[in-house]
Formats: sequence, structure tokens, C-alpha cells
Amino acid sequence: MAFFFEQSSGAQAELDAAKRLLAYIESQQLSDARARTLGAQAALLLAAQSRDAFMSLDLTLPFAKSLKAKTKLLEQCSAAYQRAIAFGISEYNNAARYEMARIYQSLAVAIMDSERPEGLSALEQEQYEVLLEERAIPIEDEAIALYEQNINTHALGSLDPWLIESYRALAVLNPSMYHRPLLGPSYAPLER
Amino acid sequence: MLRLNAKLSDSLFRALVLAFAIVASGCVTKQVKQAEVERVVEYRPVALNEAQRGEYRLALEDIKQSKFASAKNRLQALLKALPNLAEGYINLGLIELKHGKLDDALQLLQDGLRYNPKSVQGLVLLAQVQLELRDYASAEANYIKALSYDPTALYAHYGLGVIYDLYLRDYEKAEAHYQRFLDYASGVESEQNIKRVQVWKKLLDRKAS
Repeated sequence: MAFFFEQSSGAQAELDAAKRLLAYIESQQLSDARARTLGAQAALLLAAQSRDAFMSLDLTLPFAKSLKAKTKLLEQCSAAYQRAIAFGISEYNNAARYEMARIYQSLAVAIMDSERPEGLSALEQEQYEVLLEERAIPIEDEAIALYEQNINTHALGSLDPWLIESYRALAVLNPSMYHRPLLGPSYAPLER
Repeated sequence: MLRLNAKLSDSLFRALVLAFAIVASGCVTKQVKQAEVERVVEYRPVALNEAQRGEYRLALEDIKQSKFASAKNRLQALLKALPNLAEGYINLGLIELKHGKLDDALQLLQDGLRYNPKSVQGLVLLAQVQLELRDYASAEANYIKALSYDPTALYAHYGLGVIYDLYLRDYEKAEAHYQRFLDYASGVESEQNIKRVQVWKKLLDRKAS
């Protein structure tokens, strides 16, 4: 089964192999390093499907209805990435947390960019913006917390791409805490 | 039989010549490597004549005015005449860093530091490139080395402050280096950057809690 997963070519064949392999590893409670690695890889591959479905759904009017649909997809993503984290492989955990953070971050952005109802007065528009912000900010905080969880687990010299991306995201989301532009000399004079 | 012996001795002779050549080339390589090591250890400033000094000054002016293509041409011409001019490589590295060409910058700065391993600017710029490349351990080591030659090196304190603040989460050290930066930055660094570091220093308390 592992062979079919590793050798499968074509998106659908790979997904089918991943589903079978993940179900097998979980049902048999396999816990050796190879099983955990393959399990985490398969779980991440499957979770990416949920993530793509989530990302492609826009928030449209009526807002409450589309937000509910998107939140449902978010819960599916969360469950899918939790399956990857359950295998306890550090690098894949970082990947899963990073992807979840990105999902929360994109939901916050989607809320703020969502379609506005027509016919609102200036005051109503303002109040609507405030309502959206009240929804979006705690979601963005979730994203920040997940990125922070990632960067707080690493030791010096062991940055994988997910951690590097987590640092990048934090520099944008919380610049006062994480954006540190580099400074250096503007030229080197002759030393003599 | 005699012919066979002659053939054998000829082969033996060839083998001996080959062996000698290998050993000799090994010695030469060893000598070259040793010379390289000595060149690193014993740094001697390169003597520039008046015209070359003038050209170097113009290259620095170009850098200050962001005329990087012109600065690059001047420095490359200088390095043709003075291939051991450490500062030439270091400034070229700085130009590549400004253009985001990190691998080229890394190579040039390492070249410069080979000719002058105690160049504080070279070490700080190398650390900066390494930080951009997310090689925190090497960046930290080079900033510390720069401070061993010049304890007031402003940007080495700044860089170490950032490393301990963001990546190593050693907030005591971060605070100490940010403070050193603030001690030496007045009149040298922009007010905006000074204020920024003051804020970061204050934020360390929140991070520590």
C-alpha cells in the first residue's frame, strides 16, 4: 500500500492511494517511524483538498449563509490537518499548523473583502464595517496564534520552509512584534 | 626475456615518475593551501596610489548616491589592478546585497574577508546576508566576531538584538544588544530607526511574559 502511495502518478490515483493508506495506518494503529511519516504525508495531501475547496469559496450575499458554508469547510480543514498532526512528525506538524494559520488568515481577509449589501446609508455602511472587523479580528488572532506556535517550537538552525513562511506571515500580521528590517553599513571605507 | 625485463623496467620507471609527480603536486597544493592560510592570518593593507585612492573615493560616492552600476565598474577595475583589496570585494558584496543577489553577495563578502578577516564592515555585511538566507547560527557567529574587533559596531548590536529577539528568544541578550545599539546610534542612525528599536526593546517585556 505504501508502495502504491509512493509510486502513484496522477492526482486522482495519488489521492486514492493516500486515502487507503491513511485509513489502514490509523485502523491498525501503526506507530513506527515509516508508518507515521507516510501517514502524515498522506494526511497532508488529503487535507490540501479540503484547503483548496475552502479557499475557492467566496463570501457572497447573503453573508450569514455563505459564512456558514465557509465555516463548515474550515472545520473540515481543521479535522484534516489534525489527522496529520496526530502522527507527531515535527516537520509535518509545522506544515499542518502553517496551512491552518493560512486558512484562518484567508478567512479574515475574505470577511473584510466580502460583498457589501446595497442601499446602506453612510452610517449603516460604517456600522457594517465595524461588524465585519469584529468578526475578522479574532479569526486573524487565531492565525497569529498558530504561526506563533510554529515559531515557538523551533531551535536555532532548524528552520524548515514552513517556519520561514510563518515568520514572513507574522512580520505582515503583527509588524511591531515580528517585522525587523535588517540594517547594515552603507559602505566599507579603506582600513588604513 | 630481456625484452620482457626491459618492458617491466620501463613500466616501473613510468610508475615511479607518475608517483613522484603525484607526490610533488600534493606538496605544491599543500604549499598553496598553506600560503592561503598565512595570507588570511597575516593581513597587510594593500597600498593604493593617489589615483587609485581617488577612484575608490569616487566608488564610495557612487554607492552613497545609489549609482551602483558605476560603483561596480570602478571597484571591478580597481580589483583588476589590486586583486587583494579586501574592501573592493566587500563593497561589491554590499552592492549585490542591495540588489537582493544574496548568493553573489555571500561569495564576494567571503572573498573580501579572506583578504582581511578582521574587516568589521565585511563581517557585519556577511552576517546580514546570512540572516537574509535564514542561516542564523552563522550570522550570530559573525556578528559576535565583528564585536570582538570593534565592541561599538552599531549594526552588529542591531543584528544580534534581532536574532535574540526573534529567532533565539533570549530576551535578556536582545535587550542588551538593542541598548548598545541605542547607546551608539545617536547622530549616526536615523531617528526613525532609533525610535523603532526603542519600541522593540519595550516589547521584549511583553514577549518575555
